[in-house]
Amino acid sequence: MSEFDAELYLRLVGERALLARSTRGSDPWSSPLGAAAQALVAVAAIDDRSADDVLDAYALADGLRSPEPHPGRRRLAGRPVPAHGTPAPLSPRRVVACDRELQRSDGSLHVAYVSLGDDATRLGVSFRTPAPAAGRARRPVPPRGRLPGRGPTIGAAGLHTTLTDDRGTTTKAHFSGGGDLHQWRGHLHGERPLDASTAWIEIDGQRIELGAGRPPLEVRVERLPDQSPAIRHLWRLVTPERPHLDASRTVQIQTTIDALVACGALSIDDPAIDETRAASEAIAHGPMGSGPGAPRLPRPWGSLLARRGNADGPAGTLVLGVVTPRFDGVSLAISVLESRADDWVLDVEAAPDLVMQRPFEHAVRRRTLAWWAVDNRGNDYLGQIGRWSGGGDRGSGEIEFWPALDPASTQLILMPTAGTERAVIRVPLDWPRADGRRR
Amino acid sequence: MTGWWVGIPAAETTVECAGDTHRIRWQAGELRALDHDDADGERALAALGGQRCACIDLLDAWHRHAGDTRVLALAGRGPRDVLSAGALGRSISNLPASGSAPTAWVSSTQVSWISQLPRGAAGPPPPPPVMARPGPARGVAARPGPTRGAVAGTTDQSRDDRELIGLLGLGGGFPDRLQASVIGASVDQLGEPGETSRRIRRQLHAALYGRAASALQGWLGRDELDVELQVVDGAGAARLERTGPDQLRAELPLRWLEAVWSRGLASVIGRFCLDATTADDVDWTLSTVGPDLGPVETITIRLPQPPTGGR
Repeated sequence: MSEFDAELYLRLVGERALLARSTRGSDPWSSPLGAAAQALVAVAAIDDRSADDVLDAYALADGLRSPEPHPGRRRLAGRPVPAHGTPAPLSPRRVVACDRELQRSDGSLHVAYVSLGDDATRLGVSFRTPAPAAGRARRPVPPRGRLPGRGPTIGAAGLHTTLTDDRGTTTKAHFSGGGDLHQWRGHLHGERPLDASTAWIEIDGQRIELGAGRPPLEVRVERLPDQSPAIRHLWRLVTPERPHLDASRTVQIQTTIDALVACGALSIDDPAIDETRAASEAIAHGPMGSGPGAPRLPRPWGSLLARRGNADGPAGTLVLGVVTPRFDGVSLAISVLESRADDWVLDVEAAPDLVMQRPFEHAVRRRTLAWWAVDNRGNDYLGQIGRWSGGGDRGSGEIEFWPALDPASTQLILMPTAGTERAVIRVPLDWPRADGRRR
Repeated sequence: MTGWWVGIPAAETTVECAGDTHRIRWQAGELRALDHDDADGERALAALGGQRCACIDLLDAWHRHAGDTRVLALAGRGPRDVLSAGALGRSISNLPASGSAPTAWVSSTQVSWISQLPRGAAGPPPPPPVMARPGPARGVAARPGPTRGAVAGTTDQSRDDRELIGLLGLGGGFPDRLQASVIGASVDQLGEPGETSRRIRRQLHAALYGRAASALQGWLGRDELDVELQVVDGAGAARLERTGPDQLRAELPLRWLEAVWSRGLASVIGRFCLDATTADDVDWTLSTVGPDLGPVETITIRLPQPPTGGR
């Protein structure tokens, strides 16, 4: 039997993709070459650079056949300039819930919380403009995912705010976020950090008194249990990163299985193949039934899917203010948890930024996390990236979890999971009562 | 031994050069700027600060990429695989520009060709001969090494990429001849030891798959045909076998690319060509199979020789 040649394998996948392209067109999200390259890199069948070279060449070949412009993956022979060192981990945050409504000439600004760290000041806000008179032009909706500092201006005067602390530090702040015609939700990012221990902040002269942050939560980093790199990669691929990738996941999973079997990292009769296929199918289209022929989904998938669609989650917001130590090179700051009837959301900063897949773009080794959580009633939850902005050293946004929180659960364990390590954060679900006290 | 260029017809295109329309001719593996009598002299003048000339830049670019195996991944796999003129233009304009202002070369296909691109930190390459011939195939060793600075490397790569995409946008069958040149140079290196040779073999293997599969689908008129390829050592072992209703297994040698595909002989009078040989560079014996994949039949054809200037 001849030795497996990973580069040749990838080139042949690229040739097949180009061949299919001439008759079936190109799908920007489901590059089989990208999925195969990621799989072979994950099991060390090929090094990153060699895989990148093949991806670059075939991405450009694809681009040269596209009548419509698309953002090519990279230049043909160009290599990304490596980042200079690892960005510093995020510093501890003092997160204070506010729930303050500030009236402005251009609308109403609601400040949900203030996050203060030595390296950043960030306010969770929503902004409402007055309804325009009939016949006036619609205001453009700001796009999602704008970089802090380059965010859209809001209202005629723009939401160019100035923040001040009790030490006399003043900084401009810019909005990033999204919304609809009259209401946007997102964050104000200070251009430079305010003092983390300030007793108050002023937003364009309107003062908000700040109380103490919550007591620190228990957080630790642990190594993932030993598992074959092939199986781990396969399950990681099943775990949705963004909801709209579902349509292409079946193709990517099959391509991944083919590559892992071809290189000998996965046995063709490994039960994980059927399990991952079933889990992927169930995520995309619902469980495949419970008859004798239906594959049994391992935990956490069974629990996760059984409660999908529930809309009995408690409504409330918890300040977390937790910063993880660095795990697999990433550190996270989680400011708040907001629970709604049908889902729940974490407000997150990451250093470095989490690299997400974009159309036509398949980095062979992506820095992504699987956002798992479990409550004290044995329910599992999975997070997906919602609104997100960033690039390079920092990123921030929302992680949207499903299913809805079990209203009877009193404790939640968040487990953002990287390639070999995960952070474990224990969160008491002590929802504040109407009088401001905790239950 | 028959040269890779034998049997490939001459080709001509035009480029805008110094305010005029000039002719570029490919013949017998060589590229000539027909409207420039002293290309070496013009290169020397340009090196001393004189006006650069589009025709000579094109010759130099051709020489630099005549053994560039990236061509195999990028160029068309046959008549059914056409590169988009718009995409070629976009790809060039999307590449980062730097240094001296580029001059647009407009070929007969109206794809912008960029000349006067900045040279990398390593300085200009030695002037190639006027009659551009393929150098050794470029594998991994030809890529910028890790010692090259990021900025200089990027600039150099940008120029390199623009050149290559520009060459693929030339009309008049020039990209096919560039492919033939790369295939010829690559096949010549297959016997050499080392990682470069192994890498070239992989690239040729993939190139063979893409081109043979495209040719087979077009020959049989079956876009859905699933082609499996087995690379065999000798041309005598070449064969086709139907393995399913929509599946076909092709056993072909790497040199099929040079002997058959580069010469446009993949399908001839409704038959698929497994091998092409010649004893005198004029009369060719083709080993062919019909669409029923029956027995191999030989066909003899005569390919005209270029009128003058050939080897």
